[in-house]
Amino acid sequence: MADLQETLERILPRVEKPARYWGGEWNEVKKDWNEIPVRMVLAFPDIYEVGMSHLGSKILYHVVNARPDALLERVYAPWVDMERELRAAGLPLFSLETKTPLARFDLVGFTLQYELTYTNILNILDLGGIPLKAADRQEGDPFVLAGGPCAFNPEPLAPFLDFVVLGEGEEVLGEILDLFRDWKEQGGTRREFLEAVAAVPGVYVPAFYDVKYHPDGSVAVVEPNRPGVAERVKKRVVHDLNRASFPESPVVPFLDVVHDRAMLELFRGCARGCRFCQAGMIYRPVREKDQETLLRQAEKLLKSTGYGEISLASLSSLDYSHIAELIDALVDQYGSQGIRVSLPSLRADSFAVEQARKIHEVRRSSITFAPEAGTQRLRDVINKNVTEPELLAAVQAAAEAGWNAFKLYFMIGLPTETDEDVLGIAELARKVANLKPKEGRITRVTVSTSNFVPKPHTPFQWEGQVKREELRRRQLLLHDRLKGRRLEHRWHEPEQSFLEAVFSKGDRRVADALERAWRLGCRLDGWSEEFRFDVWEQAFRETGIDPAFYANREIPEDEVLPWDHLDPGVSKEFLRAERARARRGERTPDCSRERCSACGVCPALDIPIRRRGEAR
Amino acid sequence: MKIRAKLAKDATIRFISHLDMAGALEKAVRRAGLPIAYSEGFTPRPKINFASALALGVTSEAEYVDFELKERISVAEFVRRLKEQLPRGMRLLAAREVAAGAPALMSEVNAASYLVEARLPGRSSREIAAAWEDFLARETIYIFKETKHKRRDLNIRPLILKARLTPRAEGGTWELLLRAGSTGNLRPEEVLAAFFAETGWEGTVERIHRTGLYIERWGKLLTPLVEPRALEEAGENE
Repeated sequence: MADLQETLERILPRVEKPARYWGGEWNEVKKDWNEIPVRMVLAFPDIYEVGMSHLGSKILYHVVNARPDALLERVYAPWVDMERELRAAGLPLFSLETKTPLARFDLVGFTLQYELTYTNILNILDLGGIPLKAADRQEGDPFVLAGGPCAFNPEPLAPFLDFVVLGEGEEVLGEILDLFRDWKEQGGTRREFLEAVAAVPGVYVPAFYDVKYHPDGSVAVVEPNRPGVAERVKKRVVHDLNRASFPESPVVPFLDVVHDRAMLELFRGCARGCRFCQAGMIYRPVREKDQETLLRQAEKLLKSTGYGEISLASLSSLDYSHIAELIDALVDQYGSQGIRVSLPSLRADSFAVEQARKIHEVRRSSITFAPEAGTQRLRDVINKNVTEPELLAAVQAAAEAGWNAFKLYFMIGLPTETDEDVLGIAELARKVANLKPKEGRITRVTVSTSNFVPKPHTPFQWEGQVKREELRRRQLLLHDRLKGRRLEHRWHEPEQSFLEAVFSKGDRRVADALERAWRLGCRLDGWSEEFRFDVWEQAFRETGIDPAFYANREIPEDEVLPWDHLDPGVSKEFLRAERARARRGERTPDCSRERCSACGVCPALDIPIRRRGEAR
Repeated sequence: MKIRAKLAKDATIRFISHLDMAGALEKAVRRAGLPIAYSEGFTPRPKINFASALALGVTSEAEYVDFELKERISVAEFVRRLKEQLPRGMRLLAAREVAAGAPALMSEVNAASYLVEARLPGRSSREIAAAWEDFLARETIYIFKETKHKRRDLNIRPLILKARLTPRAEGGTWELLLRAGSTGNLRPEEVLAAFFAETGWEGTVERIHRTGLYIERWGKLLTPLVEPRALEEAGENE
């Protein structure tokens, strides 16, 4: 692609951060295109700095490139300036490694991390020269697949995707590539490959399912339209993480990306059971790596990357069975080499503060806790098992350890929320600000409030999101009460949260609005400077889709959900029971510490039920 | 101990900013397991100091960097280990030990040389040569300079220490020696922009390559590696 290279060199000096589109980083894997039969590109539908911070992509990059018969290259969503240059020059979007236009790949894989990246998917396909709709793709066009958390309801993207992978990708992707290699060798048709891949456990081919609707707009049924296709597609998980393929030599970006550090994944899953949290449901069950595995992996990671920081990356890292020992061992080994250990988030208890203290997080930055709700009643509803005394003790301990700036994360619009709960946030923040630590002082308490978005496969999947005007009223109500010395309030505008809810809970019909919005110029919607809600409203209007039907409507429990045919292992009965407990304000304990909560995931995935720290 | 190295930044990484290149070097040093010294304080930084920042898009065969090490190591060993760990596009050309108390590169370097390729569509080689001669013959050449702290008109003529043009039809190659560092810093694209403005011609700078950084002392140009306080040497000769 001499032409592409030349044009690229001409346009790059004109765009912001050209390194986003250039590749050539340390540990980049660049294979000989002509020697490799299976060529895939991993498309991260956000900008380079976000995509390069994503652990899952690093894992897949390693898994595929470790195979002699396949290559995996990278592409990210171009920022607006680069898109303009590409279109003006008539240059197709290309992979970083070999600068190959996307349309020349066999497979284009998207990771679905966030609903507001969906227009970027359409934009990447279009810029890459790939027909948007699966139905329009011909023999020789790439297959477009997707995975990641939002793949547990991929229906709003169904017309654009050839197939979807549910759950953890490192094993199933290998099976898909095997199948693809054989199919390509034998010279089969597109249809034949899709039929073969649909038989792989964890793979969902949207075109093989028909959706019927009731006159009132609700889903009547989602059913296979041909024999040999599973009625429900169950997610895939890795059973033993100690033996799972692990990226020892991840690509080290030149650019200062969002998480510019080595990432050590301690475990998958989280058993805390917060009822709003989709990750907590879909990544179950908890599977830990052994400490020896982790120390070995940490050594290899640091040696191969040269990072000066290693982050313990998991959903709730401090829940790792041997966390204190692990932190001690890492600090012991690497502290003297100028390498820091860091934690992505902290539980609100003094054990957490003690661990954070050991890794010298003190005074480096502020410390963040996430009580999520302002009153004990509402925290019980969402099963966020932290009490006010625990939080205050944690803050007190942190202040005495030297932190003076505190961030508290909450959600507005949680199910059953009243004004009392909203005002409870202000009261709690005030109590935190008024604490009198024996040493040190509290100089700033920042309250950050997001808007609750109901998510599929959670106990709150049936809930409607609180209407935008009401969310705004509650945010403002709180805002008025959070004025004062040392207090600061930051909040999310409800429009982005509303759109998240539409695409989180949408069915296939929403795809039309998505495509329309993209054609009207929407992209990079997760970036507030690019987000244009008026254009989205126009897109919904023009396609006759009522977004409130998806975002704000409470769904009756006996109604078919658009994602009912996709199975994360957690049973619908469990989600119903959890919702009922939420309504009664009953908590459900962490199943890895106390009794099994019978969510169904272990038997569904054939994983032995285990307590925390129990031998495998 | 302190080791001073000379590096090249090739065209393959010209889109990497100076700050990002410094970060990449830091990581290479850690991968190489070199006993780099760290600064004190809450966020210790490795003691790696560049002589001068290089603008995005500019290539160079003369980036000088000081490394402060907390243990003694032979320069040959330093070079061998670091070379293995440098990303594609960064090359280690030479290194020497310098006195531990040697002044910071940044404060010493005061001149830089460049090769600049520029295009001037529609202009003959002769026209370009004549205009350049007139341009240089001026006693003052003012440009408007805006920095973080101040906006001012600046006479850049005294900052152009030497200049040689090899003209050709519709363009040319400029060899420029310009004042650099804290005593006055002139960038090659500023010189060409002033020339374009003076002539009223539509020109474009196609390529800038830094060929040298110098310490001008007693009317002589020394490179930071032949500076008298340098002690031990390895790698290619200067």
